[in-house]
Amino acid sequence: MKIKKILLSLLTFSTLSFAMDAFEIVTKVDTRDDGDNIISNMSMVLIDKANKQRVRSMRTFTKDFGVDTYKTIFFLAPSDVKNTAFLTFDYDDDNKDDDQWLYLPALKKTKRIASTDKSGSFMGSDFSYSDMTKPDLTDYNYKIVKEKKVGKHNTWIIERVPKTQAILDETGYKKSYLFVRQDNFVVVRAMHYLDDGKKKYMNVKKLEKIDGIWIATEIEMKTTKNKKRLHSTILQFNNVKLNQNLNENKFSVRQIEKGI
Amino acid sequence: MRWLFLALLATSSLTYADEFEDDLGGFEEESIAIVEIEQIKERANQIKGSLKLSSSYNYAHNTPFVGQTDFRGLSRLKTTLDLSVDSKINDRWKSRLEVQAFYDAIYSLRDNTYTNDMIGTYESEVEIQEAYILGSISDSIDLKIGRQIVVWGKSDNIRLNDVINPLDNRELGMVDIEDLRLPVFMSKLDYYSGAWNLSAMIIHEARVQKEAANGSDYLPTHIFLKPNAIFPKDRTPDSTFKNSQYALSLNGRFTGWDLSFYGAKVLNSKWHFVNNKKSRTYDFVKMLGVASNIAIGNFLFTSELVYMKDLKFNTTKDEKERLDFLLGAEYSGITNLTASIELAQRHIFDYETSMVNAPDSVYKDERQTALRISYSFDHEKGMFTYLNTLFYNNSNINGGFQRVWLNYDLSDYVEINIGVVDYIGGDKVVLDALSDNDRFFADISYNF
Repeated sequence: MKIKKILLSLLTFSTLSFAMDAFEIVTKVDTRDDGDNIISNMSMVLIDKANKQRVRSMRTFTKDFGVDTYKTIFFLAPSDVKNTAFLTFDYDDDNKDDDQWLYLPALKKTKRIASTDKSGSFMGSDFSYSDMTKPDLTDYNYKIVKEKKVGKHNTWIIERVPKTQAILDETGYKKSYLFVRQDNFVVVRAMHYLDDGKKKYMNVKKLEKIDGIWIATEIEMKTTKNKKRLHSTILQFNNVKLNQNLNENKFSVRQIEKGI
Repeated sequence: MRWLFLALLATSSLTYADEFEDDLGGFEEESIAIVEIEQIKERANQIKGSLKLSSSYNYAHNTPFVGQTDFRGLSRLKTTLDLSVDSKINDRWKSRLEVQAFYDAIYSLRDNTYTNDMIGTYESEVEIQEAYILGSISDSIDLKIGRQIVVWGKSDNIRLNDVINPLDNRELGMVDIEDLRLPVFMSKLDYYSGAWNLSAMIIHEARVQKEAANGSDYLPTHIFLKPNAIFPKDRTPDSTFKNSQYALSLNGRFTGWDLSFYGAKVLNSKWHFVNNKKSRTYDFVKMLGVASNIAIGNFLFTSELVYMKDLKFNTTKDEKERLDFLLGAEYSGITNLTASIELAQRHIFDYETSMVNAPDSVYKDERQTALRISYSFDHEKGMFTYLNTLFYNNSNINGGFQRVWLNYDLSDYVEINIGVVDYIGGDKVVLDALSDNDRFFADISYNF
């Protein structure tokens, strides 16, 4: 009887049938209105093993141009990186590499960045470049693992596995579990498995509805190994403004060289 | 048999489920209280700066003869203060003023035979760096007037098209890259249209390189001067209307690649004797150049081509023309690591064999290579860099240097930098004479 119970629960765990399938859910996540013409102040707190903290402050501008997303990041603090600016054209087309330029005020030079490797750390944080961009849904296989409450909200836990080694190499994640809130299709938690035995935990700590759109305004990413925290990063977004009048000039090398 | 299969399935699935549930525990760890984050407010005037203490230790010089300067041992105890104010005049216009001052205590602390030229060049300095106003005349035109730096070219390590600003050449291989270019006073007009930018400059200030002190370990003039000969000070041309310099560039930025065209009449970066070798000065050169880079996957490929004319030398009577070409590649496909290599070739037309003699010391064809490897670690707190740059003639090394250093952020405000530079001798006497300048260096900076 006991074995039967266990088997039943395991079968439930692995083959739960849901009203929506996993791909439908991630499609809903991908197509959810996440705002456009956005201006925000971003603070990045880098926390090492000994809880020593470093803070980076930035001002970000984001705009969708059709299916592509353009983003400008201006560094405000600390002093040694102030006036550094980053411009990226994130193309939806998988066959087209993103365009990226970095303005280095110490050198008075704008440098093109060529890198399709998105597994690297985003500005020294626990977030990788792949965490900061939308993935191509068709690059992965999806499976609903179970349902779970996160806070007061029901979520689907979706297993995401890259279809090819190339995608794995590009992101560094061999498997991820995404916690998708059932009421608004926001990924509020994620657990990523890396090749070197490390795990990364993403946790949305603050989710706000701004102008009718759900925006994660505080996100933690924690890197662990053997259950020990190695490093973590907290991203805070303040003064988030949507639907601003951002023209194309804001997303240009001219602008990153001139500053805000 | 059926039971065995079910039991195995149960066991393996149980382990999987247990592991998964166990991993989920990672979310439950108590959050760390983060420091209070100061929200950056937009201010009309923003001040930033740094205070740096730097030192170096020379370990390869020979024992000097009596009466000669002893370059061995501790050679720098320098304090540098850099202050800049960025002001927002209104929504369209802003300004910047940067002042830098340094004092090197080694020249008063060491009992040594430093010459007045050495003390004047290296002991102290107060100088206005960048000082400009920048604004938009219209949606597509910007104007920038004042002392400023304009970087031309796409390469990071070898300068071919980068002719607008003179350099601080007082200590080859030791000057921080951010201090290497000297700002000059100019009026710069930029016109933007789609992917293109046309930039026109009139350079009002006739500013030349800062050269090493006569007789110092970076300019051992005895190698090309007769005994007791006087090495005259270099003379900067007057900043008159007649001496204005002109520069024009056209820059395009496209999906995956960039392209720039350059043309200029600027002061030569190298001096020549005038007035029967009683003085030295700098004359104008004309140049045309093109540079491009292409991003393919994790590679960034760079190429540059420059044609220069009106180059004056000390060992020939007529002016010469030169063609420079560069190819480079940078690879960023390994996490935290960037490696780049650049190769440049310089060809002098109508070359005369006398030009190999000092002080020109140039060959008909010269090559330069630069290899740079940078590795960041500890969440970008630290950066380890190796740079190797070598000059070649047709068959041999002319000279060069390799430098390795470690930069580490102790906090958001304090960073340290330690390293070693190794000078490599070769066929070119002016470079070979630097080969015993090897030194360790260390500095600590407070950024505010």
